[in-house]
Amino acid sequence: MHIFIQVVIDGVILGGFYALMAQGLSMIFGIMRVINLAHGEFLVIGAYLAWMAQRYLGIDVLMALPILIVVGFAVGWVVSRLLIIPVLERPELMPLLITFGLAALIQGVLTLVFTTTPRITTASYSDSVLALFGYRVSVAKVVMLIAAIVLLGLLALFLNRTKAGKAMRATAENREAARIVGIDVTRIYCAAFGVGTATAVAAGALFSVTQGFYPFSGPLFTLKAFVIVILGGRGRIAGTLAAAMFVGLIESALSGYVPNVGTGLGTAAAFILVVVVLAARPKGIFQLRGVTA
Amino acid sequence: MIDPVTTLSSTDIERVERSARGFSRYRLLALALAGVVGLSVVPFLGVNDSVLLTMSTIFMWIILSSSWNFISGFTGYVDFGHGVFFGVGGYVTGILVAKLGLPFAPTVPIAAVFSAALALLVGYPLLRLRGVYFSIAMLGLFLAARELVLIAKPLTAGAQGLILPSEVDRVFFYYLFFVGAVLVVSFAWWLRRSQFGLSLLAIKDDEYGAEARGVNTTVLKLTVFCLSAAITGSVGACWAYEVTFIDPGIMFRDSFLINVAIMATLGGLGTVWGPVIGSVVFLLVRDTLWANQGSSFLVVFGVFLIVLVLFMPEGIVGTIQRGDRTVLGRLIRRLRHRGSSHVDISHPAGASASVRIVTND
Amino acid sequence: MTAGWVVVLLGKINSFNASPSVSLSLPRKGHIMIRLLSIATTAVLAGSLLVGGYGKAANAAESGPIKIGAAVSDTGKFAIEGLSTKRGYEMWVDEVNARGGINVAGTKRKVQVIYYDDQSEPETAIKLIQRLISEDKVDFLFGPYSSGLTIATSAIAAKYKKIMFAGAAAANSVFDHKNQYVFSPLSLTSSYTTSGLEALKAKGVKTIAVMHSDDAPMTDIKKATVQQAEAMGLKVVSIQTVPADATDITGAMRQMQAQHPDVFVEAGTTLMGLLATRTMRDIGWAPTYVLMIQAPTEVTFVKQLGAATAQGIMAPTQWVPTANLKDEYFGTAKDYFNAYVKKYGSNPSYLPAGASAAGLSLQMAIEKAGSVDTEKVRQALIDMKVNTFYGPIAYTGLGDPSGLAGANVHRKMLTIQLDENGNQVVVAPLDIAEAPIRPLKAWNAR
Repeated sequence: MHIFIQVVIDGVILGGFYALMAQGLSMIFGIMRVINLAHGEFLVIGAYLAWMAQRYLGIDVLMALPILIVVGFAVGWVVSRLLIIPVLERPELMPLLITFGLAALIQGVLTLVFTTTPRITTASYSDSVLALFGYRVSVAKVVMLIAAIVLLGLLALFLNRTKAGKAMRATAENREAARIVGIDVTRIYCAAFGVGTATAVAAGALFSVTQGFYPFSGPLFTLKAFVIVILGGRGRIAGTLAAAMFVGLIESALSGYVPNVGTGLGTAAAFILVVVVLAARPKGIFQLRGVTA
Repeated sequence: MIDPVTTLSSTDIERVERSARGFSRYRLLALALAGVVGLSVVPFLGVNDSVLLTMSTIFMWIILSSSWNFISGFTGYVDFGHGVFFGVGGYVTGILVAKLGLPFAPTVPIAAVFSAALALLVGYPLLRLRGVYFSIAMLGLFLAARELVLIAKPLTAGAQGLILPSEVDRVFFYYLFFVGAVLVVSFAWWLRRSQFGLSLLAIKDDEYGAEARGVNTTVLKLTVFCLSAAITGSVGACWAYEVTFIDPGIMFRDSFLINVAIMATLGGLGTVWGPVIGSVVFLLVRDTLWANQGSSFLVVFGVFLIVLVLFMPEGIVGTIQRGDRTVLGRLIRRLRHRGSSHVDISHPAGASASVRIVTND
Repeated sequence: MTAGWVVVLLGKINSFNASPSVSLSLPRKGHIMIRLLSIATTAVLAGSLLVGGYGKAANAAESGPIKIGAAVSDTGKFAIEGLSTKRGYEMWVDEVNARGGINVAGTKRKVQVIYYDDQSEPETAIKLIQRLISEDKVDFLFGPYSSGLTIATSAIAAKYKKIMFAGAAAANSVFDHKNQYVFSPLSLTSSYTTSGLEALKAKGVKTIAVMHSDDAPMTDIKKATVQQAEAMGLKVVSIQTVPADATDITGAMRQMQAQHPDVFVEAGTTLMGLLATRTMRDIGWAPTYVLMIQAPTEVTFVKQLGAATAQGIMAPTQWVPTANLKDEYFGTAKDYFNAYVKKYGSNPSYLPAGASAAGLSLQMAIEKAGSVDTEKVRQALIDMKVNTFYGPIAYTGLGDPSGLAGANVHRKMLTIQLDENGNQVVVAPLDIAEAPIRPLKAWNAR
């Protein structure tokens, strides 16, 4: 029983990490229907920024977060204006290729600037562990889970209560109609991409405390994030959280109970899930209409 | 070079058109034939083995990107996990040769059949998916396959890999891939002009409309998917034999997808010569960059790709064929006619790309 | 290079000419001619690029620098370790050229290493080895870092009869299939944990758990560890296989924790070691003894985790910079260490030393053979039995009882333990230990 609860706790924590990673992508994919292959690289950029802030400026990760979010938003805006908007009307392969080019570019720049030596960010809470009733979780990971939930709340508020958010939802539902009623689609898209990127950068900063990273850490995260977004259903941000928990729990169960190859199976499971779910229920497990939070 | 249009009647124009087309086709075929003959004697011209390897690699990628083009470029179902067939084909040969001691030749058709069977199995449910969902599902399949091959140690030897006893014979593989490339490109040429091929293009353009007109899209999609998988699987089998050592990381490479996607796109999706030209240009450019740039390779490569997508998404062949209606053409026209009111590129509502009303789905 | 851009240019020219208003008129013929011309030009340019750019002059075998081709991982998943290996080669080249070159039967010839990035990719590795052999016409090869890529490229080296030194920690499978042209001075993966296990057995441990990343060399280490542990009478209570790029291994580690082993052996890359240590801390598991492959010997391990977290972890190492290992080329191991720090500004792990040792043994074999002829050098390598700054080097030949060819079979691994300042202290083999093995402190006691 003890093991069971621990596995569940680990699964939820892992799910928190995945959710945080994937929420930005869910936003972008939901609103713009664009595949951003550079998502993982934005995460890594966030990680390096956090690492630098601590190493050279002595600023703790949590303190640096607001600045990082702003930086992420700006980067996202610029990237989408220059690279994504021009290729939106074209076949789906184009955004894919252009973001892949961006990813390669970022990897190259990071390698030149930082070399391939692995880094890990030291935070005030790096070594802290939460121990309750005999169950242990690392604080750094709990922080990610909390951040994911807070983020969900913020995004929900944003999408439902603000004018910009509602404009985004409208555009996601019907781009031409949105244009007709006077919504500046280009700016909305840039804002959406900015928000998505800001989220990714923040996520990267938080995760950089928990494990080592190097310029080529990105692709794996991109893939995982996409799996989560697809499972959660396009456009439903809460669905992303649910899907992330789902995947986190499955992985945790497999790696916790299956001897020897459990962890490998856990990794395969997420991918197999995507295939099976798409084959059976193309809209994802937790899908709802339109973009909601 | 533009001759002025003088007093030509419409029938005159048609006659000239027809003979011009036949004329060009004849010329084109003659050129292609000359190229084939020329390439087939290259090994005897005393070039070194590194050149042979480079060329046979180009031929191999011509086959791979053409094969990918069949499903992704012709039919419009962009396959992000196509590398799974390459890997499966390679492992079929690997297991049969390394573990069961079969000679290489018979394993290739077996690998092809296996890949086609896999395509049939997954294609049936997955080809029902529209747009990006099919792509991601295939990607998931690719990643799952890699993990599973890694775990299934009794069968595949997992990370230890399989060693295929084979001779390093550059000339043999040169001809193997060369003949393969000729066959596949010829097939593509036929496909482009056949009813089958036109139906596939119709599916890409407007699948519902095609179905409404009585085209059996399911059968067509599955057929081309299995065919494409079989070709890719055979190439995987041959390459495994050439490399002499395979493991899950080598056979299910992340870079596979992006390579075929770039080559096919650079050349021109849905065209015959697109994959050929795209493969040649991409590989030559990449190799030159790699040899000379070293550490900034990724940066240059990334920029190259971005520029390609922004300014030449129809690919080289596509841009040549459709001239003015391409992004580059419009851009040049816009620059030439600077000052006069013109089509706004950022909202190409009336342009060639199909405008999709984004709806709930 | 220009071919591609010329084609693009031709494409542009085409779009210039094909203005829509005259698409049906006579100029169609002209348009077609331009298309044909473009295709023909592409073919010719591509052909000329292939043939023209590749016509280098044949290498003068008697004088001029000795050319060595090296595959290094500058990018991709092996890039972290690849950097260390490359630096090792550079250190050796410095040493050779500082003394005027290698003495080949009286003539001193300098060394030139041609580096290509193998991008951690098989196709690239094969291509570059072929290119090094057929175009750059190198005399010897330094192979790629990963075992898989090494095996794939060793077949090429054998076919063209070029000696190739394995890039780094080579799995047994690199040496056991009768390829006579692959050599490596590094200790084999199967001997990594031997000295550590023996020392721990002497301390009275009973149970052991092993976790390894799912790739060839680490699987080899796992197999050897399990085998040797059982032969010593230790009980293997848990084996965990994790994907090499896993980002969360909590489940696997909790499984092992539940078995309460005395010893935890982790076999993975630097990143895996970082992750494992962090996870141990998170789940509050401090087994009495921890043995990790590779990671603890890297400077970045202690730097990123902090000495308090890293302390007590043991690691097998190929090499320590002490004063008792020496030769007349690099001086002592300590001298090598200092020279490295001077050049690169950070401490070397054992990877650069191994790479330098490969170069050194090549140098010594060439000088012994008095020639760069492959067969003579190969024979000299097999006959060689020397002590160097890296320790003893003696390569096996075909027919060696170990069943391996080209391996430095009898070389033992040392085991170190990190102390509270993050320094490495030799703890095994027991006859040269600097200090006794200390058990790991509990996490909350630091």
